Amino acid sequence: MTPSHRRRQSRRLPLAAVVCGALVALGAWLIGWWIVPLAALLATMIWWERENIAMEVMWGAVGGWFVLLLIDSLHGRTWALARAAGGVVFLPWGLLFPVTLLFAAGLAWSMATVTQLVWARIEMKSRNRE
Amino acid sequence: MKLGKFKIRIKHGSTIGAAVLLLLLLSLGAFPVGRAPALGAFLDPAHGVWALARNAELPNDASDVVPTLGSTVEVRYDRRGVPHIFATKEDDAYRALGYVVARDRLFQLWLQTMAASGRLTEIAGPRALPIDREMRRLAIPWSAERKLALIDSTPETALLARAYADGVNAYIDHMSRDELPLEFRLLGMKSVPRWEPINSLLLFNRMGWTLAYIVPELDRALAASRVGPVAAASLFPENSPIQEPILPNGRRAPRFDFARLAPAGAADSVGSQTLIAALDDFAPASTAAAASGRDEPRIFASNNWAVAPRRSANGDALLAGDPHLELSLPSIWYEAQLVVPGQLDVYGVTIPGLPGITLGFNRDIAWTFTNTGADVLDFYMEKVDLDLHPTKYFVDGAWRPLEQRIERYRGPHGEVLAVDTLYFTHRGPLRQENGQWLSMRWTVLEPSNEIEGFRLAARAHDVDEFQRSMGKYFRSPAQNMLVADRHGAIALRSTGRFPIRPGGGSGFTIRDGTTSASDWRNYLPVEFAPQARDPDQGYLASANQQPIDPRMANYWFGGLYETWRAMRINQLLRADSAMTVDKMRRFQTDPGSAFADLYVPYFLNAAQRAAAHPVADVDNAKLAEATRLLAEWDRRYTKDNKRAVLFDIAYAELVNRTWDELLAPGTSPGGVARRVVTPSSEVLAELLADSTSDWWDDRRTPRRETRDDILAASLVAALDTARARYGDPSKRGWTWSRVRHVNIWHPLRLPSLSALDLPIQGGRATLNPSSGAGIFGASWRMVVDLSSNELKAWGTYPGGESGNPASSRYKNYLQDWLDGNLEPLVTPRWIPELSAKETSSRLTLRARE
Repeated sequence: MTPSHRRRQSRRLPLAAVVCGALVALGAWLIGWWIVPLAALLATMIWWERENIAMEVMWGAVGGWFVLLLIDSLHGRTWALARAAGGVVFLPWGLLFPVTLLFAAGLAWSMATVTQLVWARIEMKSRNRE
Repeated sequence: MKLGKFKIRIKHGSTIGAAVLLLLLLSLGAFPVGRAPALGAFLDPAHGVWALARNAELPNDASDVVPTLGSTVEVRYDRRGVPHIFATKEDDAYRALGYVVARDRLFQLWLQTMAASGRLTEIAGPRALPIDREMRRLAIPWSAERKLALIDSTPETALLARAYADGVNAYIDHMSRDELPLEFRLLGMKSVPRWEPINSLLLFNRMGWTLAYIVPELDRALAASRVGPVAAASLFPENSPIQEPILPNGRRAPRFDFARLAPAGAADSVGSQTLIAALDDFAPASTAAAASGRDEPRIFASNNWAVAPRRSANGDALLAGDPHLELSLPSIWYEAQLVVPGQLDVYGVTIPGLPGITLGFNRDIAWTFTNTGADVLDFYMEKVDLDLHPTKYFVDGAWRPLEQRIERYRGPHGEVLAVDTLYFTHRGPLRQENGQWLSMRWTVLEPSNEIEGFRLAARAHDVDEFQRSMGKYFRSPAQNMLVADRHGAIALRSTGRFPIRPGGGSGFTIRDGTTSASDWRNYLPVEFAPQARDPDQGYLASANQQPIDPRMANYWFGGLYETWRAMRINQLLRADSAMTVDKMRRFQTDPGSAFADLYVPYFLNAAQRAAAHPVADVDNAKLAEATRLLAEWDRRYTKDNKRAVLFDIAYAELVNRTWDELLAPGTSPGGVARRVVTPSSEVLAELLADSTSDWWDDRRTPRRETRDDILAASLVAALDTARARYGDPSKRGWTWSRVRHVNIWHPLRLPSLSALDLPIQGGRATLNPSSGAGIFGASWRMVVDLSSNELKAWGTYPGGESGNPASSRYKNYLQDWLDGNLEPLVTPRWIPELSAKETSSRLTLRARE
């Protein structure tokens, strides 16, 4: 990839992140946490050619869950919850917040990375056949 | 890799890493690991644990359908989060009570039921098997089934129990998945089992186990196994050596019925060991652990008192109560008001799962309980036909068939972990222990209908009506029921079943089961139960002391008693004939101690005598310093006190050094001292009056100690210990608030859901008692002014109404409780009396959409 190509990509709208984030935020109400790997899978299959797709998907998933956490926070009790529920899973000082987002990030990034490789191979084989 | 016109650089190393991470996160997301739940569903911000933040606070307005409602019920939550239920029919009020309790305490409801029914293995697996076996072998579920059959024949109670269950189930049925309490999520549960009326009876029985599983036979047998039966009877007497009875005995001070303790004799190894082996397995796991020094003793103490109008500053009868139980978050209590115009207007605390207000008040009366501690449990040595699988037992020369019951203990996945066959005689459950077949009779297991008692008591208009209702229906666990009314009457009666044993005998012996002559003759008629009404002294008080002065009683009332708090509250009430609500509030956390008042002078006098006649083993300089420090103590357990700690340790040292005769066999001199059992502090006080008793001699040392030697040595040892633990006496380390803490645990023992290490005013045997691990204490405090115009009440408990740890109502009462403050309780007669400012949330329950 040339520097100009890279610049062009960086200026491009992070569409994959936006779509993935929206999918995660909306789909979570239907199928819970499984939406994160599913959205990462779908977004990567669509935009597999983008070099930073794994990172985009990751930020999208984090953004999606962050929006949901913001909705949860509207009632003002998330900090109390983070301390109480975090302690239950051995996480002190409200670390449940970052761990929640890290869980989504790791899940989305790893799913996207693996999907990109697998999907690229599938595409490569089908194009070679063509 | 090249693909068409794109070049994608894929690092294989990072892809392998990503694949591993993906598998790991998917596994952690889908499956629980150890005690941690499956992280995916747990962390999901839409429906996972975070959703609890959205449901932490009550919505301004909500409505739901309770299909069996007769008419619409309105619920208003006040600013403290207490629900006020306004219904037009009594059963609808109890439906709504079930609903609001489930809304706030669903996990507690379920867990308590699982514990009472001996089904904890279904949550925790085989490690809960001993606790479950205890519940089932004590026949708690068996008895609940029998009680349910009785209730089914009582239309009003059956309706009420069913109504309550309907309310709980309406909430469970309509609850969204986001409202599923945190604890269920931790256990991997996605739904909650429905509530059955029998659950309420299981909880009553469990309360009976908590308060009335008292086995004085075991204490005596354990003592006899070390020092012989005569000394054991002396160490565990039938009557308290200090008499400050509940029923006024005409005295203005406690009476010390001190006698010489019988000297230690030869260990009664055969008889006692048989008894111990037989009874030890019957005793609750926690009691057995405490007896052997392995664990914290259970302290179920309580206070209540009332003053007549002539002894109050405003001319009203005043009543106060604070039951002491094992504290928990969420609390054992739930506060609520139920209003049905013309029928019911009651406010107080209920135990989640029980359809009724347990302690509280209505427009005319207020009531509160303390535990009687009576011995209402006996054992019988039985003869059976077959030792391996008995089918009959022998009574009065004939064989009678045994009732059998198969108990299956299941694991979390429904697998059978164990199967027990339980046998029952006409007396109760039968078990084989150490080759002996023992049956048990226990009032808690006998058919009864306490729910009806509470239902009628809530509607009572005066002291007489309350006592009639409770006298007719309340059977166990027997309680000292204090009640006062707006007409100025105050009354107290020990209410419940008290067995009349053959020959008026005590419950200290195991009786011959082969003859019906050993059976209980009857129960004490309620008119003969210890009781007092409007006494000349102008007040009544109970604090788990012996109910009747044995010089007045014609009926033996044996059990476990504690006298120190009774001495203190009587001292305070006698000294003040212009009582106010605020004084009564302060009494509930009074830092004074009758216990310290008796013991400290003994320590100081012994130290003075030891200084005059130095003892070889005691460092005189240290003794002088310890004496000076103890003399500085004002005998009050205030938070800022710096000397209470010395006394507390000195007392523990004194106990250890005095009762060396009761050490378990094989305890090495340098090892951790384990007593088989420890006599009460009242008995030790009795011994203090006998300076030359043989009991003072520490048999582990070559010389012969006297009382003063032991007291002086204990004081010096306490100074050493206190210095080692807390540093210099002048420094902050000795401050009581840094030493004595209360610990309020969540039932799952999760620290982040608990309130731990909270400094508290009070100590050993104060009116606000706290000792050991600090897990027991005042579970509810209430003061009521029974004005003839308008009854007013104040109260609080350590916790809050909600079981959701994210809620502001989870522990919003805690600080007030710690500070000894009470909140005014709001008691609207109907909805308009609760202003919008005082209303935090509204709930409408309808029969249909």
